[in-house]
Amino acid sequence: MCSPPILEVTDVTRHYASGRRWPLGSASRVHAVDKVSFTLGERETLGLVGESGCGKSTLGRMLVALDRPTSGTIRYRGEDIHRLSRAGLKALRRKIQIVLQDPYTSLDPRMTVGDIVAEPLAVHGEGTPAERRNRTRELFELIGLNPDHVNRYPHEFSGGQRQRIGIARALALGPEIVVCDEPVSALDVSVQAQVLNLLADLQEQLNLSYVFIAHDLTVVRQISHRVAVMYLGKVIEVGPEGVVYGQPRHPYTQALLSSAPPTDPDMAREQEVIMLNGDPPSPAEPPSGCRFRTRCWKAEEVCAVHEPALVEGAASGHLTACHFAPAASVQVDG
Amino acid sequence: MSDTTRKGNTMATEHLLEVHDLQVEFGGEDGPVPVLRGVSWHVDRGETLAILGESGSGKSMTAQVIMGILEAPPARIGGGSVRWNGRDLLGLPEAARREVRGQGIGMVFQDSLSALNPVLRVGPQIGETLRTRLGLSRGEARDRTVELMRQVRIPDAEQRYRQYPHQFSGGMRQRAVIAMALALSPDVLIADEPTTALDATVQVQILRLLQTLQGESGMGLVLITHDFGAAASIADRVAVMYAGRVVETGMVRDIFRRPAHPYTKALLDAVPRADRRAGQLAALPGQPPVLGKETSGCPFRFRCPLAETVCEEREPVLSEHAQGRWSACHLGKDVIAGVLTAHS
Ligand SMILES: Nc1ncnc2c1ncn2[C@@H]1O[C@H](COP(=O)(O)OP(=O)(O)OP(=O)(O)O)[C@@H](O)[C@H]1O
Ligand SMILES: Nc1ncnc2c1ncn2[C@@H]1O[C@H](COP(=O)(O)OP(=O)(O)O)[C@@H](O)[C@H]1O
Ligand code: SF4
Ligand code: SF4
Ligand SMILES: [Mg+2]
Ligand SMILES: [Mg+2]
Repeated sequence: MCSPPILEVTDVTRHYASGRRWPLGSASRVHAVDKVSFTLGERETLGLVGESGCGKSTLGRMLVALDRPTSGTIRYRGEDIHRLSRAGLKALRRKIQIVLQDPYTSLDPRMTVGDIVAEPLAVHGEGTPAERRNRTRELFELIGLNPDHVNRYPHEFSGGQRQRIGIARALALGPEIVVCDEPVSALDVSVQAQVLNLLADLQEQLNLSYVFIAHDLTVVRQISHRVAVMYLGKVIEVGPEGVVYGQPRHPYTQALLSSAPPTDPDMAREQEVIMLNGDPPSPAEPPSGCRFRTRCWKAEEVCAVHEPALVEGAASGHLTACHFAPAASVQVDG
Repeated sequence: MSDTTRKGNTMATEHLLEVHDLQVEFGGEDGPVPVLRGVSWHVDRGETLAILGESGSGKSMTAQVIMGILEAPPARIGGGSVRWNGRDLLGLPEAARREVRGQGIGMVFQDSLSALNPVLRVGPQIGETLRTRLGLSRGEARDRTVELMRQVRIPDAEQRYRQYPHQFSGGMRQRAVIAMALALSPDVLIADEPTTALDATVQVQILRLLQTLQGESGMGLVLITHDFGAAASIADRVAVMYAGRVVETGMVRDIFRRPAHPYTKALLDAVPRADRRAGQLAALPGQPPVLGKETSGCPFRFRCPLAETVCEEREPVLSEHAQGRWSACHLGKDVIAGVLTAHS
């Protein structure tokens, strides 16, 4: 994307005072997100992929100013979103919206779905009640729900439909950027495909930019133009979708890709799986140096001492944080 | 477990575990709601059967009936049979069922975290059944448990034996739960979405572990999963469920290459791929069915691109359209022939 980025994330860090999930290490600091930098272009989808607890949601919340970075900046069209006045923040909310994972808990069960979708309009004093009702019906049509169902309650809808309602609500104010935090993870495969297609259509129609967060690599590839792979609070590889999936340079990305078997039985059995040792360590006690070293089969002494920087390799726009990333990209079949 | 004698070819062979025409309903406000409407499948020794299907299709329910842990009421078993090594389990008294549970058929549950008691050490939890069911002494149970923990590749099994569940990572907990299911050396293991809650790199480890354990013991493995890739990697055969029925079953290669049911085909097309990016995914229209709604004809017809008049009139039964190719579709032969493949 050549136009200046719409969103610019620079060295964003979020530490929590103590680990929620690790009550024993009470004095520890959870390094939920650590010096993450990336940009998002207009009409671009950046996929953020990584295993649970690697900091994706924390990052997502900071992008929509629901949480503050411990350090670092997030700029929307050049403006630091965490230094905005109240009015500025309110204006920002129109431009950046979020869709959350769980279609079962993210909608208020006591509100009609019409009111849920119209709420941001009401909060921002947008239009008269009648105009808001019209806009709500439009939004229902846009996301493929029957506008006559605005007076129903969330429990009357399936998971996929509720996710559409969440998307309609996020679109109500006409945002430019939508952060989607695992929007299809709770959905069955057939419904997941519908929602992914819908998001792609909406991007075309409304010129949206997405930050699309998911732990499922295949889902991320399907929707993203560029992909950033996270591990323990860090972006360890980022680049265009085809390059990251086709020629991954970071050992973790390689392992992650090798653990997504294709649906062809022979190919699935032939696929060489890179088996990592154990599980990801706790972000309350990240390993020194390279955070991946405790599971990395290429690790050497230097990896425990020096943290590798995220640097560009042979292909432009393809950055990797590994001391031993191959100079040339490794071609993976496909 | 006595080795059941295989019957001659003149009769249908006895399967290790066979579910036949299983019917289960729940008492609802507006009358009974059928959730299993004639489920049939089987698994043999040394074989892996993957059960696929969307949420609510009845995968876990079938497993609960097999294990004899279905809460009835509110549920009611309306018919059908479960045969394990030739014994009809549904007719057995509770004491005999309990015997089969664990020793005959082991199970790893969908929500495995809750399978471990957070205030007890992991090792003794795994070993408990060894003492209560096999009457082993404390020391014997301990030795056997440590051995089991090694078998499921828990490193430093001796130290781990004394730790609490919260000291285990997600993957290690799942290994402990598998060890628990294998403690009494069952000849069938049912694993209900054993990897869904785990990270991708850990999922592979657990899948491979199940495959290895099965290879070592020759047990039958029933893997309930949403994950087509997982099924493609380790299943021999597959059963696809829709709306409380098996709508297709057969060898994994046949089904994944040339499905015999439009639903299977649609699911396979809807799975995004890691090796290339599709323009648009071939999304199946509509929603998975709401059970209990009285419908006529084929339950899939509202979403099926091939639906014809006959599909409204009669509900198709699981039938063999070609050698070993079973599906519940009036047009099964056309589907296998690829009438549906034109658009993809
Ligand atoms: N107590 C109950 N009362 C009424 N219906 C129930 C009850 N428990 C389960 N059901 C229904 O039985 C059907 C089968 O449920 P089951 O748990 O077997 O689904 P599943 O295929 O395992 O789905 P998932 O993939 O989500 O685990 C579902 O439609 C479910 O809503
Ligand atoms: N409010 C909080 N207080 C303390 N720790 C938190 C908080 N929110 C998230 N964390 C921790 O930060 C890390 C990253 O979490 P999260 O961003 O939710 O990960 P992901 O979305 O990638 O699964 C985890 O270790 C999590 O437990
Ligand atoms: S820096 Fe070292 S430990 Fe980290 S990924 Fe590269 S080789 Fe592995
Ligand atoms: S029976 Fe008819 S509606 Fe049902 S799956 Fe076959 S073609 Fe489709
Ligand atoms: Mg999250
Ligand atoms: Mg289930």
